[in-house]
Amino acid sequence: MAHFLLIYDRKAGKLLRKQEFASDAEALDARFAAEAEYGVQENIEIVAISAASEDELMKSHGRYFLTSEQLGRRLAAA
Amino acid sequence: MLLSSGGSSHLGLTRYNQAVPRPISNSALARLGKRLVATDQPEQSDVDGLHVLLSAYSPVLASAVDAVARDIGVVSASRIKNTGTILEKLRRQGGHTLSSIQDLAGLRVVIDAGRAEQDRVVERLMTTFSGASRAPRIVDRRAKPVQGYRAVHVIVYPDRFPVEIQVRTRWQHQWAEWFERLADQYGRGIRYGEPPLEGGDAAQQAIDWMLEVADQIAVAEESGGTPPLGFITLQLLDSVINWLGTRQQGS
Repeated sequence: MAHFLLIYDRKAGKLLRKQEFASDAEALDARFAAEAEYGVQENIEIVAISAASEDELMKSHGRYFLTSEQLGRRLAAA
Repeated sequence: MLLSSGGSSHLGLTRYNQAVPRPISNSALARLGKRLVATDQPEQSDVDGLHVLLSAYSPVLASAVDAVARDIGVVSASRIKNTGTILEKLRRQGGHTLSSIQDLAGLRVVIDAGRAEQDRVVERLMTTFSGASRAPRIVDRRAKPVQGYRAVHVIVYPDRFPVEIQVRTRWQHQWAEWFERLADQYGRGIRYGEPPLEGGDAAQQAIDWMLEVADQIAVAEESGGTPPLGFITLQLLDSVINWLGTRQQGS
Protein backbone atom coordinates (compact mmCIF):
# COMPACT_ATOMS: atom_id res chain seq x y z
CA MET A 1 0.00 0.00 0.00
CA ALA A 2 1.04 3.59 -0.60
CA HIS A 3 0.05 6.36 1.81
CA PHE A 4 -0.37 9.92 0.66
CA LEU A 5 -0.96 13.36 2.09
CA LEU A 6 -2.80 15.60 -0.35
CA ILE A 7 -3.42 19.30 0.10
CA TYR A 8 -5.91 20.56 -2.44
CA ASP A 9 -7.31 24.00 -3.25
CA ARG A 10 -10.94 23.32 -4.13
CA LYS A 11 -11.74 26.68 -5.66
CA ALA A 12 -8.62 26.79 -7.84
CA GLY A 13 -8.86 23.06 -8.57
CA LYS A 14 -5.16 22.80 -7.82
CA LEU A 15 -3.20 20.17 -5.91
CA LEU A 16 -0.87 22.15 -3.64
CA ARG A 17 1.04 19.22 -2.16
CA LYS A 18 1.37 15.48 -2.65
CA GLN A 19 3.65 13.61 -0.29
CA GLU A 20 4.07 9.87 0.16
CA PHE A 21 4.67 8.15 3.50
CA ALA A 22 5.73 4.70 4.61
CA SER A 23 2.63 4.09 6.75
CA ASP A 24 -0.96 5.27 7.19
CA ALA A 25 -0.09 6.50 10.69
CA GLU A 26 2.69 8.73 9.36
CA ALA A 27 0.42 10.12 6.65
CA LEU A 28 -2.27 10.84 9.24
CA ASP A 29 0.23 12.60 11.51
CA ALA A 30 1.39 14.69 8.54
CA ARG A 31 -2.24 15.56 7.84
CA PHE A 32 -2.75 16.79 11.40
CA ALA A 33 0.45 18.86 11.15
CA ALA A 34 -0.73 20.35 7.85
CA GLU A 35 -4.07 21.26 9.45
CA ALA A 36 -2.17 23.19 12.11
CA GLU A 37 -0.21 24.91 9.34
CA TYR A 38 -3.20 25.90 7.19
CA GLY A 39 -5.95 26.18 9.80
CA VAL A 40 -9.52 25.36 8.85
CA GLN A 41 -10.22 26.90 5.45
CA GLU A 42 -13.34 26.08 3.48
CA ASN A 43 -11.47 25.86 0.19
CA ILE A 44 -8.42 23.94 1.38
CA GLU A 45 -8.89 20.19 1.67
CA ILE A 46 -6.21 18.29 3.59
CA VAL A 47 -6.54 14.54 3.36
CA ALA A 48 -4.51 11.38 3.96
CA ILE A 49 -5.41 8.54 1.59
CA SER A 50 -4.08 5.00 1.32
CA ALA A 51 -4.18 3.22 -2.03
CA ALA A 52 -2.53 0.27 -3.73
CA SER A 53 -0.36 2.64 -5.77
CA GLU A 54 -0.23 6.19 -7.06
CA ASP A 55 -1.98 5.03 -10.27
CA GLU A 56 -4.81 3.56 -8.21
CA LEU A 57 -5.04 6.77 -6.20
CA MET A 58 -5.49 8.73 -9.42
CA LYS A 59 -8.27 6.38 -10.48
CA SER A 60 -10.07 6.40 -7.15
CA HIS A 61 -9.54 10.10 -6.38
CA GLY A 62 -9.06 11.69 -9.80
CA ARG A 63 -10.77 14.87 -8.60
CA TYR A 64 -7.52 15.97 -6.99
CA PHE A 65 -5.54 15.51 -10.19
CA LEU A 66 -7.82 16.29 -13.15
CA THR A 67 -9.72 19.36 -14.30
CA SER A 68 -13.50 19.25 -14.53
CA GLU A 69 -13.19 19.05 -18.30
CA GLN A 70 -10.77 16.12 -18.04
CA LEU A 71 -13.09 14.36 -15.59
CA GLY A 72 -15.96 14.83 -18.05
CA ARG A 73 -13.86 13.43 -20.90
CA ARG A 74 -12.81 10.49 -18.71
CA LEU A 75 -16.47 9.62 -18.20
CA ALA A 76 -17.23 10.07 -21.90
CA ALA A 77 -14.41 7.62 -22.70
CA ALA A 78 -15.54 5.06 -20.12
CA MET B 1 -10.05 -2.19 -10.13
CA LEU B 2 -11.48 -5.58 -9.48
CA LEU B 3 -8.34 -7.69 -9.27
CA SER B 4 -9.82 -11.14 -9.09
CA SER B 5 -12.86 -12.95 -7.88
CA GLY B 6 -10.84 -13.86 -4.80
CA GLY B 7 -11.56 -16.41 -2.12
CA SER B 8 -14.60 -16.26 0.09
CA SER B 9 -12.97 -17.37 3.31
CA HIS B 10 -14.67 -15.89 6.31
CA LEU B 11 -13.02 -13.03 8.11
CA GLY B 12 -10.89 -14.04 11.07
CA LEU B 13 -13.11 -12.35 13.58
CA THR B 14 -11.03 -12.93 16.65
CA ARG B 15 -9.21 -9.76 15.77
CA TYR B 16 -12.48 -7.91 15.33
CA ASN B 17 -13.90 -9.01 18.64
CA GLN B 18 -11.08 -7.35 20.54
CA ALA B 19 -12.94 -4.24 21.49
CA VAL B 20 -11.17 -0.99 20.83
CA PRO B 21 -12.96 1.51 23.03
CA ARG B 22 -13.81 4.86 21.56
CA PRO B 23 -11.47 7.32 23.29
CA ILE B 24 -14.26 9.81 24.05
CA SER B 25 -17.75 9.13 25.41
CA ASN B 26 -20.81 9.88 23.27
CA SER B 27 -21.83 12.83 25.46
CA ALA B 28 -18.32 14.27 25.31
CA LEU B 29 -18.39 13.75 21.54
CA ALA B 30 -21.67 15.64 21.29
CA ARG B 31 -20.17 18.56 23.24
CA LEU B 32 -17.01 18.47 21.14
CA GLY B 33 -19.09 18.54 17.94
CA LYS B 34 -20.96 21.63 19.10
CA ARG B 35 -17.78 23.44 20.11
CA LEU B 36 -16.08 22.61 16.81
CA VAL B 37 -18.71 24.48 14.82
CA ALA B 38 -19.47 27.24 17.32
CA THR B 39 -16.97 29.54 15.56
CA ASP B 40 -15.34 29.71 12.12
CA GLN B 41 -11.96 28.80 13.61
CA PRO B 42 -12.31 26.07 16.26
CA GLU B 43 -10.02 26.06 19.29
CA GLN B 44 -6.87 24.01 18.76
CA SER B 45 -7.68 21.95 21.86
CA ASP B 46 -10.96 20.89 20.21
CA VAL B 47 -9.22 20.09 16.93
CA ASP B 48 -6.77 18.00 18.98
CA GLY B 49 -9.74 16.20 20.56
CA LEU B 50 -11.08 15.41 17.10
CA HIS B 51 -7.64 14.12 16.08
CA VAL B 52 -7.60 11.74 19.07
CA LEU B 53 -10.92 10.33 17.90
CA LEU B 54 -9.80 10.04 14.28
CA SER B 55 -6.53 8.36 15.26
CA ALA B 56 -8.53 5.64 17.03
CA TYR B 57 -10.28 4.87 13.75
CA SER B 58 -7.02 4.46 11.84
CA PRO B 59 -6.08 0.86 12.83
CA VAL B 60 -9.71 -0.23 12.48
CA LEU B 61 -9.78 1.15 8.96
CA ALA B 62 -6.48 -0.54 8.11
CA SER B 63 -7.76 -3.95 9.23
CA ALA B 64 -10.99 -3.44 7.25
CA VAL B 65 -8.88 -2.69 4.15
CA ASP B 66 -6.93 -5.92 4.74
CA ALA B 67 -10.14 -7.93 5.17
CA VAL B 68 -11.64 -6.53 1.97
CA ALA B 69 -8.48 -7.31 -0.02
CA ARG B 70 -8.05 -10.76 1.46
CA ASP B 71 -11.63 -12.03 1.54
CA ILE B 72 -13.12 -10.31 -1.48
CA GLY B 73 -10.09 -9.81 -3.69
CA VAL B 74 -10.71 -6.18 -4.51
CA VAL B 75 -8.40 -3.24 -3.98
CA SER B 76 -9.69 -0.17 -2.30
CA ALA B 77 -8.60 3.32 -1.43
CA SER B 78 -9.17 4.39 2.16
CA ARG B 79 -9.21 7.56 4.15
CA ILE B 80 -10.14 9.06 7.49
CA LYS B 81 -12.61 11.85 6.75
CA ASN B 82 -10.91 15.23 6.44
CA THR B 83 -11.51 17.82 9.14
CA GLY B 84 -13.02 20.46 6.85
CA THR B 85 -15.65 18.03 5.56
CA ILE B 86 -16.43 16.82 9.10
CA LEU B 87 -17.08 20.42 10.15
CA GLU B 88 -19.18 21.01 7.02
CA LYS B 89 -21.27 17.95 7.87
CA LEU B 90 -21.66 19.01 11.50
CA ARG B 91 -22.83 22.47 10.44
CA ARG B 92 -25.33 20.94 8.06
CA GLN B 93 -26.66 18.70 10.83
CA GLY B 94 -26.68 21.19 13.67
CA GLY B 95 -23.29 20.48 15.25
CA HIS B 96 -24.36 17.67 17.54
CA THR B 97 -23.97 14.50 15.54
CA LEU B 98 -20.23 13.78 15.67
CA SER B 99 -20.92 10.42 17.28
CA SER B 100 -23.37 9.45 14.57
CA ILE B 101 -21.31 10.27 11.47
CA GLN B 102 -21.01 6.90 9.77
CA ASP B 103 -18.18 7.71 7.38
CA LEU B 104 -15.42 9.08 9.60
CA ALA B 105 -13.52 6.07 8.27
CA GLY B 106 -14.18 5.04 4.71
CA LEU B 107 -13.10 2.76 1.88
CA ARG B 108 -13.87 3.11 -1.79
CA VAL B 109 -14.09 0.14 -4.13
CA VAL B 110 -14.54 0.79 -7.86
CA ILE B 111 -15.65 -2.15 -9.96
CA ASP B 112 -14.88 -2.48 -13.65
CA ALA B 113 -18.23 -4.10 -14.24
CA GLY B 114 -21.94 -3.48 -13.94
CA ARG B 115 -24.58 -3.73 -11.24
CA ALA B 116 -24.60 -7.53 -11.08
CA GLU B 117 -20.95 -7.57 -9.99
CA GLN B 118 -21.61 -4.60 -7.68
CA ASP B 119 -24.35 -6.66 -5.99
CA ARG B 120 -21.99 -9.63 -5.68
CA VAL B 121 -19.30 -7.52 -3.99
CA VAL B 122 -21.88 -6.06 -1.61
CA GLU B 123 -23.11 -9.54 -0.72
CA ARG B 124 -19.58 -10.70 0.02
CA LEU B 125 -18.91 -7.66 2.18
CA MET B 126 -22.04 -8.48 4.17
CA THR B 127 -20.73 -12.01 4.70
CA THR B 128 -17.20 -10.92 5.55
CA PHE B 129 -18.31 -8.53 8.26
CA SER B 130 -21.35 -10.46 9.48
CA GLY B 131 -19.53 -11.80 12.54
CA ALA B 132 -18.56 -8.38 13.88
CA SER B 133 -20.10 -6.91 17.01
CA ARG B 134 -22.88 -5.29 14.99
CA ALA B 135 -24.43 -6.48 11.73
CA PRO B 136 -23.43 -4.60 8.58
CA ARG B 137 -25.97 -2.32 6.96
CA ILE B 138 -26.60 -1.45 3.31
CA VAL B 139 -27.44 2.05 2.10
CA ASP B 140 -28.46 1.63 -1.54
CA ARG B 141 -28.04 4.99 -3.22
CA ARG B 142 -29.09 3.45 -6.53
CA ALA B 143 -32.63 3.17 -5.21
CA LYS B 144 -32.49 6.55 -3.45
CA PRO B 145 -29.95 8.72 -5.28
CA VAL B 146 -28.89 12.05 -3.82
CA GLN B 147 -28.63 14.68 -6.56
CA GLY B 148 -27.62 12.07 -9.12
CA TYR B 149 -25.16 10.29 -6.81
CA ARG B 150 -25.58 6.54 -7.05
CA ALA B 151 -23.55 3.80 -5.36
CA VAL B 152 -24.04 1.16 -2.71
CA HIS B 153 -22.62 1.95 0.72
CA VAL B 154 -22.07 -0.84 3.20
CA ILE B 155 -21.61 0.28 6.79
CA VAL B 156 -19.59 -2.32 8.68
CA TYR B 157 -18.67 -2.34 12.35
CA PRO B 158 -15.26 -3.92 12.95
CA ASP B 159 -14.19 -3.30 16.54
CA ARG B 160 -17.54 -1.53 17.08
CA PHE B 161 -16.44 1.45 14.98
CA PRO B 162 -18.51 2.20 11.86
CA VAL B 163 -16.58 2.04 8.59
CA GLU B 164 -18.33 3.02 5.38
CA ILE B 165 -17.44 1.03 2.28
CA GLN B 166 -18.50 2.72 -0.95
CA VAL B 167 -19.01 0.24 -3.75
CA ARG B 168 -19.27 1.96 -7.12
CA THR B 169 -19.36 0.85 -10.73
CA ARG B 170 -16.93 2.68 -12.98
CA TRP B 171 -19.73 4.82 -14.46
CA GLN B 172 -21.13 5.71 -11.04
CA HIS B 173 -17.64 6.54 -9.78
CA GLN B 174 -16.54 8.69 -12.68
CA TRP B 175 -19.81 10.60 -12.65
CA ALA B 176 -19.53 11.14 -8.86
CA GLU B 177 -15.97 12.41 -9.10
CA TRP B 178 -16.93 14.79 -11.87
CA PHE B 179 -19.90 16.19 -9.96
CA GLU B 180 -17.81 16.56 -6.79
CA ARG B 181 -15.26 18.53 -8.82
CA LEU B 182 -18.04 20.78 -10.14
CA ALA B 183 -19.18 21.26 -6.54
CA ASP B 184 -15.68 22.51 -5.68
CA GLN B 185 -16.14 25.23 -8.29
CA TYR B 186 -19.83 26.07 -8.00
CA GLY B 187 -20.53 25.41 -4.33
CA ARG B 188 -20.63 22.22 -2.29
CA GLY B 189 -24.37 22.79 -1.81
CA ILE B 190 -25.13 21.66 -5.37
CA ARG B 191 -24.65 18.11 -4.04
CA TYR B 192 -27.78 18.69 -1.96
CA GLY B 193 -29.84 20.48 -4.59
CA GLU B 194 -28.87 24.03 -3.69
CA PRO B 195 -28.35 26.49 -6.57
CA PRO B 196 -24.79 27.13 -7.82
CA LEU B 197 -22.96 30.02 -6.14
CA GLU B 198 -21.78 31.38 -9.47
CA GLY B 199 -22.38 30.93 -13.17
CA GLY B 200 -26.10 31.78 -12.96
CA ASP B 201 -28.63 30.05 -15.19
CA ALA B 202 -25.92 28.58 -17.43
CA ALA B 203 -24.31 26.79 -14.49
CA GLN B 204 -27.71 25.50 -13.35
CA GLN B 205 -28.35 24.26 -16.89
CA ALA B 206 -25.01 22.39 -16.87
CA ILE B 207 -25.90 20.84 -13.50
CA ASP B 208 -29.30 19.79 -14.84
CA TRP B 209 -27.57 18.15 -17.82
CA MET B 210 -25.26 16.31 -15.45
CA LEU B 211 -28.20 15.02 -13.44
CA GLU B 212 -29.75 13.84 -16.71
CA VAL B 213 -26.49 12.06 -17.56
CA ALA B 214 -26.64 10.33 -14.15
CA ASP B 215 -30.23 9.22 -14.84
CA GLN B 216 -29.27 7.91 -18.30
CA ILE B 217 -26.39 5.94 -16.79
CA ALA B 218 -28.75 4.48 -14.20
CA VAL B 219 -31.23 3.41 -16.89
CA ALA B 220 -28.41 1.76 -18.85
CA GLU B 221 -27.06 -0.02 -15.76
CA GLU B 222 -30.50 -1.19 -14.67
CA SER B 223 -30.87 -2.96 -18.00
CA GLY B 224 -27.49 -4.66 -17.57
CA GLY B 225 -25.52 -2.14 -19.59
CA THR B 226 -21.81 -1.53 -19.17
CA PRO B 227 -19.48 0.96 -20.89
CA PRO B 228 -19.40 2.53 -23.45
CA LEU B 229 -22.10 5.13 -22.87
CA GLY B 230 -24.98 5.45 -25.31
CA PHE B 231 -25.24 8.15 -27.97
CA ILE B 232 -27.82 10.34 -26.19
CA THR B 233 -25.84 10.27 -22.93
CA LEU B 234 -22.67 11.20 -24.81
CA GLN B 235 -24.47 14.13 -26.44
CA LEU B 236 -25.54 15.40 -23.03
CA LEU B 237 -22.02 14.90 -21.72
CA ASP B 238 -20.62 16.86 -24.66
CA SER B 239 -22.99 19.73 -23.83
CA VAL B 240 -21.55 20.01 -20.31
CA ILE B 241 -17.94 19.59 -21.48
CA ASN B 242 -18.41 22.27 -24.14
CA TRP B 243 -19.95 24.59 -21.58
CA LEU B 244 -16.99 24.00 -19.26
CA GLY B 245 -14.64 24.81 -22.16
CA THR B 246 -16.50 28.06 -22.75
CA ARG B 247 -16.21 28.95 -19.06
CA GLN B 248 -12.47 28.26 -19.12
CA GLN B 249 -11.93 30.48 -22.17
CA GLY B 250 -13.97 33.25 -20.56
CA SER B 251 -12.07 33.15 -17.27
